[in-house]
Amino acid sequence: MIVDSTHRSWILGCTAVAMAGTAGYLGYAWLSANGPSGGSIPGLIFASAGTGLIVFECLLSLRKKYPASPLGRVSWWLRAHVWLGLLSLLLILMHSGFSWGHGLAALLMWLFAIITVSGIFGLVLQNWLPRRMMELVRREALYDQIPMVVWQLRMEADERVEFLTADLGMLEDLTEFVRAGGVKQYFDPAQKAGAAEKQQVFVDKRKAVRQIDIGDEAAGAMRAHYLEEVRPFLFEKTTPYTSKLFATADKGAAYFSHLKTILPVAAHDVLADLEAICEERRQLAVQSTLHAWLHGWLYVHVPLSMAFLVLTAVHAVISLRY
Amino acid sequence: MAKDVILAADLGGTPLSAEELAAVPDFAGIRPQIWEKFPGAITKKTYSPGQFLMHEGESGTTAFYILSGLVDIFIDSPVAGVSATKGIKSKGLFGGITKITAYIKGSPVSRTEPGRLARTHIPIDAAVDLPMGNPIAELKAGDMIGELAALAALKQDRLKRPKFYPRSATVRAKTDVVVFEMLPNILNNVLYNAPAFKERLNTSYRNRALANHLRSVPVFAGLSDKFLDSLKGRVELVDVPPGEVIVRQGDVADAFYLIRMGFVKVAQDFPGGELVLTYLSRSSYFGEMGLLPPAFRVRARGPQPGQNAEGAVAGQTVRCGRAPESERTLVVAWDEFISREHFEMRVEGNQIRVKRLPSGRNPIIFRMRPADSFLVPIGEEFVIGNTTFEVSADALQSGRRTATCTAVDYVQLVRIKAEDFSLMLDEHPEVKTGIIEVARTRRQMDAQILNRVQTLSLTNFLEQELMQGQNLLLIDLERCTRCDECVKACIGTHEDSVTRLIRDGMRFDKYLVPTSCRACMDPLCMTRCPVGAIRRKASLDIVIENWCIGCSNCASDCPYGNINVTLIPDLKGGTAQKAEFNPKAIVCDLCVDYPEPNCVRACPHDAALRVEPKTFFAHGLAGSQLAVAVDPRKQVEKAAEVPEPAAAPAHAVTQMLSNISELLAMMPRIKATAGLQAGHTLQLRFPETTFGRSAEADYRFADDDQVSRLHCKITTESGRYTVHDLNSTNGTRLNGNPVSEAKLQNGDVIEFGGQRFEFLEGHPV
Repeated sequence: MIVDSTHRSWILGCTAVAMAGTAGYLGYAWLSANGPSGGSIPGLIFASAGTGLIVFECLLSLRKKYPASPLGRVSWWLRAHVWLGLLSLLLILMHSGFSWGHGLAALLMWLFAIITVSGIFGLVLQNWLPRRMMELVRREALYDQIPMVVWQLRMEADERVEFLTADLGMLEDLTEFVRAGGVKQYFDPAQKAGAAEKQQVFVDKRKAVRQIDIGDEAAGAMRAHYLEEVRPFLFEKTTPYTSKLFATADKGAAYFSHLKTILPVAAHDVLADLEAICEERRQLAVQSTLHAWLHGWLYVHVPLSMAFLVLTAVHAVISLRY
Repeated sequence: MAKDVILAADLGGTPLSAEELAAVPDFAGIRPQIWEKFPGAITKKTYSPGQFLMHEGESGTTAFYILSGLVDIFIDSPVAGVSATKGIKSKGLFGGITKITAYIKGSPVSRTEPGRLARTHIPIDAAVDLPMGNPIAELKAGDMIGELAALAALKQDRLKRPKFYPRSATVRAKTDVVVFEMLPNILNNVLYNAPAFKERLNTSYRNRALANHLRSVPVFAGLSDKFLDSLKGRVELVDVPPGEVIVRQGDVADAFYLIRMGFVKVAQDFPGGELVLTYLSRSSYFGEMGLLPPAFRVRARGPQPGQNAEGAVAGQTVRCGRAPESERTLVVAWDEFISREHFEMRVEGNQIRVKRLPSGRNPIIFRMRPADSFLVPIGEEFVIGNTTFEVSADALQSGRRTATCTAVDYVQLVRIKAEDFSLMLDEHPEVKTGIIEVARTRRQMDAQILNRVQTLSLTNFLEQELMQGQNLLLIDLERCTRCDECVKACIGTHEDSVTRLIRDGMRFDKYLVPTSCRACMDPLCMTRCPVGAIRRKASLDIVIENWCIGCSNCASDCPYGNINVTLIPDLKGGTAQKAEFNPKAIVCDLCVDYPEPNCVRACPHDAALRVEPKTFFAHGLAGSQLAVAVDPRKQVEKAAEVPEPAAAPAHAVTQMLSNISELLAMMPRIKATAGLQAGHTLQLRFPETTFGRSAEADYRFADDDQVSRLHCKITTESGRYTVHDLNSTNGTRLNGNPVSEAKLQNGDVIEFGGQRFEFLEGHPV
């Protein structure tokens, strides 16, 4: 969520409430003989308000579950989540009299602090990383489909290299996958078999004989470079060596420039294709990393929030009963 | 499928010699030369009870003529057991709670068409339509199956990309059946060179199918047997070859048409091109709007600017005055010479009868004389006090064709003459009401489409693919965190749990145009559905009805790949584990039953937007730079096409540009010739554009360490552009010289860090 002018009313509203709360707290702290305490009436009022806001914030996940709900857009709920979250921190601090407490209370304060910090961290990342992703990853794929795209790139690269080397001896399942934009339905099995046969003729031809003749020596060199350096980069988990080799677009370009100097001109088109394939793979790796940063913080924020909610209930029961 | 495969396929069965065919009574009158010309193009086949003649969805370009016996024709893939949108299912004691939770969850508001407009039958490529609830019917001797598929195959060799119709239904022999299976060429010759055979088919249709066919159209469901009997002999059965115009926009309307077979394109002429309103398939009808009773528009005009009122006068009487109390009124509040209820108007023939009411104090002046009751023809006016009333014809209900209808394939039509149509409306008021309702819906739809293309040139409008859509989903990639809430919302909205939205597609500036339906102006996806399941709703959205057989024609015809065919479980009477999976086409229906698309509603970051491309790209993206000074000479040249806005300032005319490429060319921009963005064009923003390494910069060069955090900016003032260096470490160069501030001219080269740009001032249209 980008913090922009659309947040103004939330910022102003929360600031106003925070100022009113602070004024109330100062008056209460001034007037109470033993200083502010969580068990006093004003302390309980701050606790109730803060807890109410925390419960409301947790409803965000429920709101997301029902996208069509008439109870406001999810973006409205997220804005409320951000700003009321900060306000609830202040209210809880007022409840505790700005003291960290002991035992369960201290645990709750630690949890709340981590949740708040992780939330702010997430918000900062969400403001920054989408733009960065747009700049760095020009060939973005659907995150869930990255393994499939990598597999497809590998198949494509194998096919290109086989034009120079003939059969590489790589046997992989040619799984038929569903493409966005329409699926060919074969009602007639003969039609499907016919299409597969046609495809197989091309594959057999490519594997049997080199389609571009660059000589045995160059073909051997191509095969060795491809299998040892390029192909390992076209897997979901790459080796450290290849990751380093293609770490940036410039490094990738330098590698393929070097190959172009040692291989004949006839191979350059294939090398250009391989360079493009490797660059796409590199961008997908960057995308995966950025995606992990964009969503990784939620693995801290969400479970701790749930734990916090449960422990808050325990804290309330214990405090009120005993 | 090659032409030789279509026209010389081995049909199997028993080939018949010319003599044997000539001896068949049903083919009596056909010249023997026709049989000799196409040997083997027609064979006789017999089927035992239970044997299948064809399966829905499979490819086939032959036609079957039933010689004897009975067959069942049905849709084998059952009507989908899931509805596209989730509905409220509240029962029993907990009904109230269910309703509350359903409200919180957000349940669809049913916006389905009223009963008399909703389809009751599934159109197929045979002599009958299948009832929606139980899609099965019986065909007997003399009926034909697959006529459209066969005839359409004939024109494939002329097309770059052949389009075939799959079998629209499954056919199974009910008794011992004898059929003739015919290749397209022989069918074409038999149908069009043998009037006797054609006449036999037509007679059979008139006697057996016409009444049911008419009644299968919801608005005609109430027609009486007596009327249908009288209609049988009077309707004309018309055949139209592909590409032929059936009715032309502006022609006098003289008949009503019901489609018996094939597809009809409905389009309106527009300056600069043709705008496709819709495609109609079997059991749809057209031509009713021109035959409806004429409607008029009355415009009241006062002496002061802004004193205008306009109303329609059609079937009902309209009362006019300062504060009339009636169901249909025309209010003229500004004129004190006009009484609260002054006069009434009603249609009489092709004129309007105006009658002063007893409460109308001042006289009505018509043709310079006071009159209490008189007929006003179109184009004339009358006066009361200071107000003039002008009468004009309603362009969409003036007795003329409002659109051009063209046959897309071989089309067969039922033509009902204007007088029979009028008689039908007079005798059946419910049919009249239904037809008027449909006409009103179609008018609203046409008006919505036309509103969207009121631009300089329709050709320009259509050039840009983005402009093809009228409702586009965009994702702002600077805001999107790739959380996929939009996709999850789409899955959650549809009971089949299949997303219509794939967050992938072309990029434009910072926007991603994902693969979701664009509700195109020319919905090509609608041109080949064998069962008429894909259609446009009154709201212009494309919907695929749940009787889709999953043939994938629409998916392959969609230019943007936005229709997918997927296996959807049929949960009828079984659990999810035992469900049968049937192929169905799915398309984004823009959450037609919800207040707004749920993908937009569910986006936590306001990154998903549904926009009308023309408005969004013209206003949202281009912003204030749309106001451009236009060369008066060019304006004169374009005057014939574009009316000049009334309130335009003297020195400049604001033009609405629909074509984004046209817009970009006229805006100031810089083209990267070296560096990170080489080859890209960067649009300059108003009033300034900043460049640097930090995220605050409008254009960021994070990987160039020779560029400062905020390196330089380009400002605009009074149409002049200036580059300013922002105290950068390595400086900014203009045409090779270091500058701190300098005016820019077209073609200037700006350099900073490792980046080099050419400044392009843009040119006004």
